[in-house]
Amino acid sequence: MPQKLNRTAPTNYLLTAVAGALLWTALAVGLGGYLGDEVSLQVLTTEQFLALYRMALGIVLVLTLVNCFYWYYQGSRPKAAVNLAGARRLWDVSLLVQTLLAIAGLVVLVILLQTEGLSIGNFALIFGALALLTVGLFWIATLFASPPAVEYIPRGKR
Amino acid sequence: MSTNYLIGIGGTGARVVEAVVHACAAGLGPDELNIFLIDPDDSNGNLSRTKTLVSDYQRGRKAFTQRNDEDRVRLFHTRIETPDPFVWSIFSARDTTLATYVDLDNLRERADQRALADFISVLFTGAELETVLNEGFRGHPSIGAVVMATHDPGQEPWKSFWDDVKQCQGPHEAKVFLVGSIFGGTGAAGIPTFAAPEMIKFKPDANVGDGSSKVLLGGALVLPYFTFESPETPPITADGRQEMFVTPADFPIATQAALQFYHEKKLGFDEVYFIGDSLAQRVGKFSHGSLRQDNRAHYIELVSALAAFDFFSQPHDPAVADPKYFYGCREARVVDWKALLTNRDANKVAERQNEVKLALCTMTAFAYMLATEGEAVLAAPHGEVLDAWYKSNFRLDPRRAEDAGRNPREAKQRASIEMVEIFGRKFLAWIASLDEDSGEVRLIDRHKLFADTGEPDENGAARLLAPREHEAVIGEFVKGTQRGKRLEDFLRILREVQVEASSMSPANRWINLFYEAAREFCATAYNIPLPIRPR
Repeated sequence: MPQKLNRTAPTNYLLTAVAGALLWTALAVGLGGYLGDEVSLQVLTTEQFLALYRMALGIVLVLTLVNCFYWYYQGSRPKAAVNLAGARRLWDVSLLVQTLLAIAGLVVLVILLQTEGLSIGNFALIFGALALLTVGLFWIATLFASPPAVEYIPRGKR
Repeated sequence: MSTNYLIGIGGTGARVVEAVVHACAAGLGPDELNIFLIDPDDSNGNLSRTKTLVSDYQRGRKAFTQRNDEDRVRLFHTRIETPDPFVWSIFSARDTTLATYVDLDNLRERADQRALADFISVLFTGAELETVLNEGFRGHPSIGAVVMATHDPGQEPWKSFWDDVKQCQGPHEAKVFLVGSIFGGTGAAGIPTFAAPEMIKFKPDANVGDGSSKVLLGGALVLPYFTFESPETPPITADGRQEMFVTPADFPIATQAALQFYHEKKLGFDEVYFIGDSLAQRVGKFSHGSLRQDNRAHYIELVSALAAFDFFSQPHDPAVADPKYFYGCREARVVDWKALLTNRDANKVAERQNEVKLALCTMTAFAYMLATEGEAVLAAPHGEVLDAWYKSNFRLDPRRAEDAGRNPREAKQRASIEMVEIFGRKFLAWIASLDEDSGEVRLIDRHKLFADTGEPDENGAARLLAPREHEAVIGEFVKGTQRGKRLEDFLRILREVQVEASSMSPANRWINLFYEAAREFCATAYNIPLPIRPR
């Protein structure tokens, strides 16, 4: 059976990076523009707020890509097929790390923006964007681009 | 198409038939093969083992009905037919002695037969006349020759045999192969008896009409090839007499006498294979018969099976020719895959050796992985299995009733897989027992398959090494292979194997997957060229 291209290196690495970049663009530019219009800031200018927001998204994207790539690397090792329970543990831990990353990103932004008077709705949107770039990207990417040996490890894969 | 008959005579005959059945399971046999055994000792352990094995083969073959590709997946390729009963046990009653068989007391009482009775008493010793023959002829072929010459062709298994021969039309359409040892009792009695021209070859039912025969008669005369631990003192009967028995020291003398006899007596063989071995490996403890006579398999039995396949694979040739005699010798003391005699044509020996090695290694890897990895996956609920090879081939939702038929765990599917697995475990026990401690037989390393350091047996007592704990063994079970392919390579191939028929039952899909993966794996792990078959 020919290997599925989307699951073999370097295609899966590239696809994930491209998907991350597109998602970052949509969230940083699209949602960022909406947030820039929505929020009423006390100290920062809209440009400064957006720069902070985009930087936060950029940092979590890089960390998510690192996590995805580590998963691909581990999943493509010959040993992976022999220890699928271990692979499942690694994936679960990675997903947890992604969740914590989203929460940590939110906490950092809440601290940095605590004087700006953003509403809970604004922070919910920011958390949604962070969660999409971390948990969402990791889950979708590993669902569609995990190496063949660990193809069925991501939860929800049928 | 020719009708192929294999007749195993005596303990060695049964053990060669055992090897034939295993080799047929591995795909080395002809398309069809009729088999029966001849042995008065129907409780003989070797015989019982072979009888059970043939039944297991037939059940396994019935369970595995759809092959992914007949050229590649030759598992259980041969249709093996057996008459009922499968064993001609010669005597209709138990506790028969030669004296009761020839009705010696009655002959002595009749004045016109007394001379014959006296003549019998001259030819046979008292022990030969009075020994109960439930456990065979105890290395005295002269007894067996008397009783075997008078078989009833109307009784099974001879009835089926002669019915099949009668259905043949032209010369040599029935290929009949006799196999047995010529250094023991039953085989040494049966081989010359049934090879006598009037018994099979030129019996009227085999006559074509122009003086030629419907039967092409072949035989493997198995010369001494093993030894066993003899008792320190001769066994004694219940009434205090010394029992008749044979020791390995008798083998060379018996063989020399037998060969001399065959040379002088014109037998009906068209083709004869002489097979023996000088390594004299121990195959167990002394037993003159019964269940205790259950010896370890020996590579010579595999060689004899390959000789039978060579005989059956020859193109049909109705022409009458002079008898052909085949023998071969090892170049060194070590028996490896290249030492196996596989083909009469020197130009095809290497190709056939590769086929044999690939088939037996594939069967070994297949049976091992089916019984370990396959069994572990089947034991787990569908939802808990994460292996890609499984998930991509068995897409189903166990909660949906309509998906039950796609689940290999469903009772009927499970039973089919189990039948193949049961045979596979026996195959593993057999091929592992070819290995012995001297290190001179370098085919399969049993320590890479079985956890037990002792003899593996076939009833499941011997524990197979778990491949997840011993990831290297799958790529190292051929002796001399080190740092070979590993479990992850097998799993990768299993993932990449394509089983095309969508109509295939889960059990057939399961078996095809493992077999195809095993074949592909062995070809790469053991550097065996895949045969190119003309389409």
